[in-house]
Amino acid sequence: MPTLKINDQEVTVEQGTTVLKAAAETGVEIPTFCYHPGLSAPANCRMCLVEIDGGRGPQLMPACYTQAGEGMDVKTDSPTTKDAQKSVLEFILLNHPVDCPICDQAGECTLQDHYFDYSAQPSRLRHTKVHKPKVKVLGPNIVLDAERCILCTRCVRFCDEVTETHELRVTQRGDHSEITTFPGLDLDNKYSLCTADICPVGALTSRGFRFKARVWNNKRTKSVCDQCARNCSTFVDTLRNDVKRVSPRTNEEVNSWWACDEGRTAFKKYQEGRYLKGVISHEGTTNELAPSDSYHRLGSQLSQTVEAHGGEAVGILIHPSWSNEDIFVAAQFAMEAGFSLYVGGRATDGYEDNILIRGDKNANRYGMNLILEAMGVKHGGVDSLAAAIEAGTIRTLLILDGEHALPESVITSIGQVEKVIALAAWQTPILDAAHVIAPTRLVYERGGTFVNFEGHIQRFHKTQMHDVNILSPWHALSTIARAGGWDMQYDRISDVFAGMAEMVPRFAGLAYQELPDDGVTTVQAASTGAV
Amino acid sequence: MTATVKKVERVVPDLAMKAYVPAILEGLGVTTRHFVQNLGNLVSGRKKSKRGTEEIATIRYPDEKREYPPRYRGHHRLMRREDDQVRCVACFMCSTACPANCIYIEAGEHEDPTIEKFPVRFDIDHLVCIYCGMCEEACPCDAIRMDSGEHTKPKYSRTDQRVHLVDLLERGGPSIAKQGGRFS
Repeated sequence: MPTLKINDQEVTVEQGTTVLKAAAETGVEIPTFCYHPGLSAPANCRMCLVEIDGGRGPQLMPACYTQAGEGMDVKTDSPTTKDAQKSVLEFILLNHPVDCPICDQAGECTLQDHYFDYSAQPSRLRHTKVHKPKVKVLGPNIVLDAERCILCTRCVRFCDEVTETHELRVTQRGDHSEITTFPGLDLDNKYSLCTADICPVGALTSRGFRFKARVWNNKRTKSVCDQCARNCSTFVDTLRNDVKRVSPRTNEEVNSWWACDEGRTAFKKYQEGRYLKGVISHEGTTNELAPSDSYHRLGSQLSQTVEAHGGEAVGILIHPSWSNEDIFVAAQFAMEAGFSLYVGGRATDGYEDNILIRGDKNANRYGMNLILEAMGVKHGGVDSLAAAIEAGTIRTLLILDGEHALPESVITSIGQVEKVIALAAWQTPILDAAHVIAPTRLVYERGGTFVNFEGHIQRFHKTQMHDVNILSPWHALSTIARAGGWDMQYDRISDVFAGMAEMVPRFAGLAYQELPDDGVTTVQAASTGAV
Repeated sequence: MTATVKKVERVVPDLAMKAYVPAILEGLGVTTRHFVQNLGNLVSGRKKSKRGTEEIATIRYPDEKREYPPRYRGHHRLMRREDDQVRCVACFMCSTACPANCIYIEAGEHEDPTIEKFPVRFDIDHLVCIYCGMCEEACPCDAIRMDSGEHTKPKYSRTDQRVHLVDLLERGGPSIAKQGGRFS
């Protein structure tokens, strides 16, 4: 346990801690480019040079690589350190094109920030700058501007150490060095967009986000990815009610610093065919309906069926990607009215790796199972739904969310159901069979909680809103139940969560408003909470 | 800065002021004097007095139009490159600086990689614009200017006041400023 001094402030750290981390513990920030907590430290950018006296007199050493030693005297604001930082920045900026006006990174660029904090001097170069390729497409998601690159090799190390796909390499020498892919290889791995995130400058940028928005205009909200059972913590950037970009949010419990390309680009598929109004289809003609009217229509349809044929004649297909609150309200509604509950969900593409991506493409299967188990609701899969439709016991089918992978038997026999009604946010082929569709919010437009495959519960926030009359699924279901004459008094999501926490032992002691940004493990909550 | 206070003596109206009519007659007298003087100057064609000041304060609008001073901030224009392409690179500096939020830009990918980015849409809502000149101040490319010397004309509809890229470019001329800083 070495004790060292950082700017005359004593700190004791674990053996093996770097000076950079020790400084961070005392609240001193040392600027870096090539250092990333998730990657190895090659100490090649030299931005973190600080004056360290380790007993042999003061000398400049890279803080990201030097281990803290007993009696070290680190000075991060001495004239020598400041001069080193200024000189390193001048060297890095020597051939930098300074094309910030057209660079997508502007506004969140480490080079911009460090320049204003540590250098702020004009260029002294009187010669022509070295020119390198611009707009070089590296893969399906990434484009390279070699001139802007500062050769920190974060991207190279990411492909070597995290994805282990080894697509990138530095070629040439000196100021002609440039990042490139190996011949015949594209930067085409499942996490390629992370290279654009970790690029401290605008050398690697996302092709999907390219020129879509300036980052300072975006509104950033903490969210959770719902595309697989991992539940990566994300930031969702929106501009004028449109999702522009989804990027990973550091959460060491769940996704560390990364997120997969598939989850990050998933928002694009929801942009087409949004339901912003209710839809009634009758003998080939479709009519639009105000959202609130469509909820009443669904409620009256359900109560009619229950009156005529009993509760079991209503099938309700829930989605394991819905939040705990949505599933809880759906399950409670089904129990109260005696509906038959079926579980649908997205199909797996069979791919799974040990970085992040899970085979189960449904965000909240773990949470759904917890809730259904605790409530003791009988439920079946899509196969038993097919059998029930075949047997003719289902008169009305309520499909919740259109993104279900249904077997052929359900799709062919769905026409036999008297009334198919749905609560969905966007158009999918299975909703073609629906007679009444009520709109609901997308995952980006509502708040809620997910439990991932390891039992980690996280809260996601509302980012954008098209129409306040369109309700979140739990709220819509509560409104539908009330319209049908059932007793369902949920108007606030915190009430739903409180009701759920009372009933589900693993959620005991949790409160919706108090869930931390990084979430908590429900497994621990069960062992420490009152059982 | 400390505020200076100047006390103004309250005018106590005397009988003549209270009677009202003499003050009105005095005002009419001033008007009549100016009218006769202007009429005389107009007939004789004398425009400047001996001291060089303008003798007639008004001009014969619309036959004669007053020229705006050179720094007048008028209708926006977008400048052009040497090959007549738009100079603007859609960096959004103007719309970011705009306090009225009247500039709407959509960026596109240019086929020339040295230009890279250009505006596919550039709208300015002249009903929202407050003509403060922050946009031309913020522009790093000398692309947007307000030196056209024209005020915005009244239009028949609100949508017509939203000027688009084509209109702004038509007013623009070539700019000789070096694009992209001092050194290439």
